[in-house]
Amino acid sequence: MIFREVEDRDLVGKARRGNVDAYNLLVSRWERRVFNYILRLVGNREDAMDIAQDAFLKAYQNLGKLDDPGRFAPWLFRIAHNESFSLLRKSKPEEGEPGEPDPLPPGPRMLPIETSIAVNAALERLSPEQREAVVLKVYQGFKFEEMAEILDCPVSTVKSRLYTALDLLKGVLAPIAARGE
Amino acid sequence: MSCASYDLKAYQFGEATAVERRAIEQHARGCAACAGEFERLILTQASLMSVRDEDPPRRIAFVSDKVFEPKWYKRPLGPAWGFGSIAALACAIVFHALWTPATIVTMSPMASVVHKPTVPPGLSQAAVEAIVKESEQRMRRQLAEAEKRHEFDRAAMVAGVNASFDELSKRYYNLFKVTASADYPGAGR
Repeated sequence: MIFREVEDRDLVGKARRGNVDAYNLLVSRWERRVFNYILRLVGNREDAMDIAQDAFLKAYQNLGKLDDPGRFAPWLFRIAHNESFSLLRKSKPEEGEPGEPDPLPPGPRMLPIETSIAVNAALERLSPEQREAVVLKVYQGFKFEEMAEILDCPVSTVKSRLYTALDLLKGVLAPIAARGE
Repeated sequence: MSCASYDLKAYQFGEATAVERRAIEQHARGCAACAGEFERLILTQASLMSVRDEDPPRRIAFVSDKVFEPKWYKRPLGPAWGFGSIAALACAIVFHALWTPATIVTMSPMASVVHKPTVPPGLSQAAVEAIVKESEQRMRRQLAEAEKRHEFDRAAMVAGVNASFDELSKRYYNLFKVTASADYPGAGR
């Protein structure tokens, strides 16, 4: 992880000096993670692809504004976050408070595909902010401070969103996982 | 301390400090509720992690890809191409100004314009010839002055055209340079 950060910083420095190949390398390195992050927020592959493309282009155009080249990843995800929520606001102007997901009835052991469907359904029941907190922490592995940077809010808010989401998910998913053991 | 004061979720994600970690581990050994809660959190995370990342349907286009190249009508001219075309245009204008034959004014022959002087009565033939000669000299002088004025006007016009063209060339080049840097920040790199 340390080596990775150093490499990112180095590549950002080179890209700033006009080395396009260095930026292409950054794109190759981060495109899968950024795409999946956006996909879990917007839920549509084509939209996720378009937003990821825009995010990388905007990042390139504004590379000079990145204060600390070592913080490229949180900064890139911040751009992706803005782009994603811009789309979400357009498509879903107002949403009510999400209710607690319905717990699944007890039953036989679930197949992996069924678990996958249940996970996606449970994630969809969360508010976009809660879902994003789960995606950033569980799937992307960012630290609380990095999440706060990406979401532009205090760490306490990040924790509140994440912990509430986990409590909601726990009621649905823990029994499924227990059955699968 | 109550169970609520132990941040099991921070512990689960490796964000608890060393002191907090030790306290949670010690507490969980003697607290069935916290141990059960921690197990449910681990199971929830395992369920979430069972959904794998997807491969993007296509790769993200690189900034060096063709897709980011400007359209032909937006593409700034290369310096060599731009200067070459401007120089060629300048040469063509100067050549045209210098070598285009001036409008030829066909003048009637002197004979048809100037009537044969009728010798007034009382003037000798020699006096008449002197008057004619003086008249011819006056015409030559006027013609020479007219040609000089015309030459001066033509030189002034050529100089004016060249100056205007230089100014136009400068604006044209600056316009493309500004447009290129505004539309394609990476284009100049």
